[in-house]
Amino acid sequence: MRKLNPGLLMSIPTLLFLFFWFFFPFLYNIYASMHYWTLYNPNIQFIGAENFIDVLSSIDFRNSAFASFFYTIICFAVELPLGLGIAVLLSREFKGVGIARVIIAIPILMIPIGTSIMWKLLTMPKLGLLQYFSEVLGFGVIDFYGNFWLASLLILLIDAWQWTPFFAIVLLAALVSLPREPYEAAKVDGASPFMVFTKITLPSIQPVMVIVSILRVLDLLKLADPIFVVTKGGSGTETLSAYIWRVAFKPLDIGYGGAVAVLYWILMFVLANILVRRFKSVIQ
Amino acid sequence: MNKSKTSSNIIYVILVLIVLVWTLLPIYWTVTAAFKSRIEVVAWPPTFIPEKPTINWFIEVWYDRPNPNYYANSILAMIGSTIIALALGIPAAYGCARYTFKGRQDVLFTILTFRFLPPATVVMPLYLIGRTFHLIDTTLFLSILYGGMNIPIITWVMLSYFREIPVELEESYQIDGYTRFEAFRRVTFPLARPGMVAISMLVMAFSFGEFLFASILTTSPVAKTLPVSIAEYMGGEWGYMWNQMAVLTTYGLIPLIIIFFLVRKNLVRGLTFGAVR
Repeated sequence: MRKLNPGLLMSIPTLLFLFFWFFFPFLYNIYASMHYWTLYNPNIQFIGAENFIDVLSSIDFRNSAFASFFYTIICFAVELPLGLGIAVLLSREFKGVGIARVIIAIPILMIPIGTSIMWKLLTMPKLGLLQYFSEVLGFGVIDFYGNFWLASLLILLIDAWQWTPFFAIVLLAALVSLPREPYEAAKVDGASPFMVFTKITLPSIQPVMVIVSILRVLDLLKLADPIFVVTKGGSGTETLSAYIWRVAFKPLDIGYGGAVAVLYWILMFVLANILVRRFKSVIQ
Repeated sequence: MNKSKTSSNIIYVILVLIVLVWTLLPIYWTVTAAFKSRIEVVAWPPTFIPEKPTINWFIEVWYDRPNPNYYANSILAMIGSTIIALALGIPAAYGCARYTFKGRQDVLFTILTFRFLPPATVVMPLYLIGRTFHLIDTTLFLSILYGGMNIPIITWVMLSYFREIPVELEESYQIDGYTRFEAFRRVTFPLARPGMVAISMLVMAFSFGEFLFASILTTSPVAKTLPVSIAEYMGGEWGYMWNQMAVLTTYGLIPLIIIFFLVRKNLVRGLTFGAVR
């Protein structure tokens, strides 16, 4: 027998572990999705594609898919530029920059569920500090909990508060570890600060930016925690993860939930492959 | 020239202050809510500084529900999952960085694929599997799952660090009679350590705050975690128990801030994911 390559040998346990705990459940889902199967009912019945037809014709499913994509796009569009801006701001050396760099990282360390609840406390009508500011400034009560756009704004605020720092600290780490020489050369040539930023800084931190962006986008597509506690899926804010939780786990409907999971999985797999292939050369 | 420099400095300071206030306000609100009375926390207009600060909530949450257990479970799951993720992620990263073999790219991308998997899609089958293997309501189960979720990120980050460390360094040690493993332990590992520490910190934060798996796969004080406990103070016959939730969120911040301070020297070198060239 040919000897196994040591590199492959070192990867096999990892692959087996991942396949067992995360791919096997997916196969389970495929099986479940073709059956009528709830945990309350011991009779499992084969029904073919019926669950899939139900899911695809469900308005709630389509709305939640829309919400997932919508939040992914708006949150990413806000967090990346803001995170980059903060990173640039704090990459300058000034008195107290050390403590400022520590402070901006704290939101990442908060328990996400706790963060969401505390934002709820900040924004509840006749209770929250933000509502108070709004009243003092003469805007009256902001209807965060009854209107899709304002509820979405709240989701965006929460996610941006917690995860913009993720972009900021990673990009900051990249900025402060850049070599000095190109900057000195540019200074000698009399390049404007804008030119220096777009021609030297951005290209050098691009690989890091791509990696955090991919990680963040895929996490955003799984967004669920703020939905669970802040809006409870109301006003059209239910995302795919929250939808599965409501239709599958609460009524213990393994079959229908399996069908949603399979579709969601395929969606994520296709998207992930597009992203990874597109940026393959950068992330290697 | 001097005048414009001063005004740009002022704008700069203002921007930094806005960022800091924006970041600190919700944290300040959380911590002060933990010190307010049940009535004051819902008072209108809100009080910016607690009128009669009390530490009762910090003590009460320790007794009225098994929160010490939940706290301990969260920390155990965090440590367990980080160990699992490192133990399985680093060999794969090292193997793929140092050896060329057919299908290496496929191995790496297959591992990465698992980072895309939404927990909500596998939680039901995992519930059934967990029931079969008697893993429901154990910290071990949470550690395994959190560890697995974080293997891809560890593998990919460590891969880029290992690639930057010249293989010749290890080889020179091997010529001196050390085994490959010894060479790894003495040369490569210390050089890659800042990266490992930084990424472990992120992994710890992800595991400590995870909610979805924990809310479904744990059912009793044996394994329930802090995030699940926080969510349980919401709703119910007492309505929103803001004080308790604020206290637990504050408690939850403490271990991670301590870890953060311990490792912050590594963060600048470590958080670039080894991708700055």
